[in-house]
Amino acid sequence: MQLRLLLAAVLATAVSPVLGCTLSLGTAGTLALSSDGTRLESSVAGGVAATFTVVNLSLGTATVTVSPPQLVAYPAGFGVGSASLAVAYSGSGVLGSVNQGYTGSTTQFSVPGLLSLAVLMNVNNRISNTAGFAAGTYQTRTVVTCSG
Amino acid sequence: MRGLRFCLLLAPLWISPASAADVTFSGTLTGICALALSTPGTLGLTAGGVVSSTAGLPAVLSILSIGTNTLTVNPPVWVSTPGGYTAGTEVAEVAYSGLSGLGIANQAFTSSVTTRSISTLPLSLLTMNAQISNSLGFAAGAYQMKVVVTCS
Repeated sequence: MQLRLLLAAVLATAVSPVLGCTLSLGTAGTLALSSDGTRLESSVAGGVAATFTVVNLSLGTATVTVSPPQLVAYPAGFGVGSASLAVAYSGSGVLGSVNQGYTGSTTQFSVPGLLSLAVLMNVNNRISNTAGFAAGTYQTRTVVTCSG
Repeated sequence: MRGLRFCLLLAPLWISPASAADVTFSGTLTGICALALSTPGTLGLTAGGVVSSTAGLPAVLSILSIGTNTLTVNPPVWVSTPGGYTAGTEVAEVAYSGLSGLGIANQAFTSSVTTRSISTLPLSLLTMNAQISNSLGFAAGAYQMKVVVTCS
């Protein structure tokens, strides 16, 4: 009996990470300048949305939390003080109803339990600045977490 | 005790670990200056006998600049004049002023080439007037002039 309990414990420890909610990065996004020069955005012409997949193999519903983007890198001449950042995302498949427009706040959505297929999520980032953008490289980061 | 141990040992099976991902975006802008004609101007004859957009409508130019660029504005030149027009002593002049965040100094009518240094700008508007006077006056007909503006 003790041996059976020990075996159960070992199996539980080994399997539990697999049965949780996991996020996998797909492609990184690309930012492009809007036609009026006030936004650097992945959802304008020339930009590319980022993707990640979410899988929830746990028994219960998981919660995905999407944080507002952070400006990780920008050129010296950029007026970061007047800039604002926002994130938008949309789901597909069983998460097709998840559709968040651009927001600067932390948002969440639920992922049903025992979802056997990976669901692809599209994410967009936007930097807005009415003073325009200096030449150089800009980089944003959005942290996505899944728990449940 | 055995039951309690069973529960404790199974507990990890129901705990779903948190997973996190950093979704990154990047973009690189190179220095550019883009010009576009938003509205062409129209010409009229002023009370002083000058063919000028001040007697019609100014032209509006849109400018988008990334980095530091130089805007160069040339005085107007004729594109077309009616057959009866005879050029005497002509004075061609241009004037402009910035709108919508284009913070360049206004330029009164001048017959010289003028330049302005502009830094990073979102899409901004520049209104422009052009005029040409002629010592021999103007024949009836259609006149067209152009102002060449460059940004580099």
